[in-house]
Amino acid sequence: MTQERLIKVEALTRVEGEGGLFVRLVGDRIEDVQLTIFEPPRLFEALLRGRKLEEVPDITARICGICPVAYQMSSVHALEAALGVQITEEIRRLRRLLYCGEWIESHALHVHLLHAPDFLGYDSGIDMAKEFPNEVNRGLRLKKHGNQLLEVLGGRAIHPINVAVGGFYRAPRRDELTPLIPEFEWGLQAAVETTRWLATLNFPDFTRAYDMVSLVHPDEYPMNEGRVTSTTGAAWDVRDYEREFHEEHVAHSTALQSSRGDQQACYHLGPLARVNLNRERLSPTARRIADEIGFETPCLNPFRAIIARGLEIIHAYEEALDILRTYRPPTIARIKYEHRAGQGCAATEAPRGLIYHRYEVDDAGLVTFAKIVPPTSQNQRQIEDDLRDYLPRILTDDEAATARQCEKLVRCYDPCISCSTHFLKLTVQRDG
Amino acid sequence: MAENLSVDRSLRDRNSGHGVTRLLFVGLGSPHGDDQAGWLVASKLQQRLAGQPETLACRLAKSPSDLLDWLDDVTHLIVCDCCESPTQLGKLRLWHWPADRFVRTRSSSSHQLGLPDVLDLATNIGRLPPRVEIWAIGGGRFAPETEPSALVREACQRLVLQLSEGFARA
Repeated sequence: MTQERLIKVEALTRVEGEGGLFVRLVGDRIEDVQLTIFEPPRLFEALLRGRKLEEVPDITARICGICPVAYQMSSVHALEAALGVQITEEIRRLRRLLYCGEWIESHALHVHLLHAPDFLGYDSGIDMAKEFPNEVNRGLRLKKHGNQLLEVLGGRAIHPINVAVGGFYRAPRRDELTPLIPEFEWGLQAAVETTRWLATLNFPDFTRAYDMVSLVHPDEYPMNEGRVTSTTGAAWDVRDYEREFHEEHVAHSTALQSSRGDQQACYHLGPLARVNLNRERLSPTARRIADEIGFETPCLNPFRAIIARGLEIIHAYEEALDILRTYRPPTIARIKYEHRAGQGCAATEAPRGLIYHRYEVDDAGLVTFAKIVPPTSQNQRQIEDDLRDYLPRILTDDEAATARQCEKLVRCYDPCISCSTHFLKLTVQRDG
Repeated sequence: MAENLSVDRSLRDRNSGHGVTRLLFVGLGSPHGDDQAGWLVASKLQQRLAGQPETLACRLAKSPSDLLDWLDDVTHLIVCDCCESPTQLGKLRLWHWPADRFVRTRSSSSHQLGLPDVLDLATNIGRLPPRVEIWAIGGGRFAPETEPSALVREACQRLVLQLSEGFARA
């Protein structure tokens, strides 16, 4: 008789939020793989209905303490599309600077404290710090830089409050930003050292024929604008996102799962997708280090996403420094607009990948519809698909060891489960 | 991140140099009911210590991980936080880290480190001050943006007096 085996990770560690992993095997045959997300739904889309559109960036920022800027940027761009607002180049640069801060703090935390321990054989970043104090100290200092940028530009490091539809409520003075330059110059060198260090880690030999998706912009590394582009060569205007990308509810997750196209195929978002699709638009130092460490693209090994994060930390520092050194306060911090009925959508690049927002507003400036598609919910199905492929390679009788290997793969996506569970799709069935 | 009161702003500026702060008091909390206890103690201590040598500093934090930014040159760290304990409202309790047993609970988020994790991390990266004390104040009301209960306010005052006298004797 073939024995059924269950491999369970009741609560994933070193990820944001509450989720687990469930694998059912019959013999060595994988019967089921579920990334179980049991964090309660957070109802943000419903919460926004009836609120003033000006409240949206502050409310959506509350979805995540790690990537609030992604929610703010996506929401203001979508609402500006609905209102027909054109922001200035100065505001645009300040928004990129804010996003640089978020990428730095999020990536630095993930690389040093959440994912590197997997490759070095530690249960946590705290344990790893005993043997790698310099690396952990460096990571903490980099993270602090990102937070400082958010503080100056956003008013505070967690859940910033200075982002407005049309721009910023207040533009920082030059003397508020220039003191950051010496630390950011140190940070750029530290990011280079981090990436060189990451390149020395031992990565499992595991590649997949991924369909990777990110924004692509002809002139810059993507943050707030661009076409939604797949490594298959397909590309879509953001306005066509919902025609191509679909969400559905599965029983084992309180976060909607996404798929693409008629085939309902999974796809991969995040730093690896961005670097694969935008390598030539990385900053000069990031490109040079990618060449130096032999980071070949397209890279289809998900474990090497940690190197892509390192390259993006370099890019974020270099771009931030460029903006900081040339900063002049904008002549207009916020573009004025009139309320009007309409709808608009936008996609931006959160640290964990592409995030999509769409809003409908009425002529009184109230939100009548909101749709938010975070990167982690889009990556869920891909993570499950990866595990189905990876499990046969790592399966042993030691189920705890197998579970640890599975977690290591899940963490390649730096999942932010709290972000992904903002929805509630309630279906009421009434009989008779 | 830290939520510094205006009284603390000057301290932050003053302590931005090297080798100044030796004793650091950190009040952990939020603006919600009894959870303000740590902040109350920090701000009252700050008022009482005005004019004292610059080797004392008080700070307010929302997250234990804020501590990691402030530990350089600190030799004595005191942390104060509210502990949910509705049956022991206003009760004070002191732990000496790491000697005393400290009950740990699993965090639902690894992007937010709890106090024991932060102290462990500080130890492992060689930044934990040689002397660390943790004061807890029992609290029971945490409704958003409400005032702390009278018992908790009294406990804060008691702790401020106790700590001030201790600093004066030191």
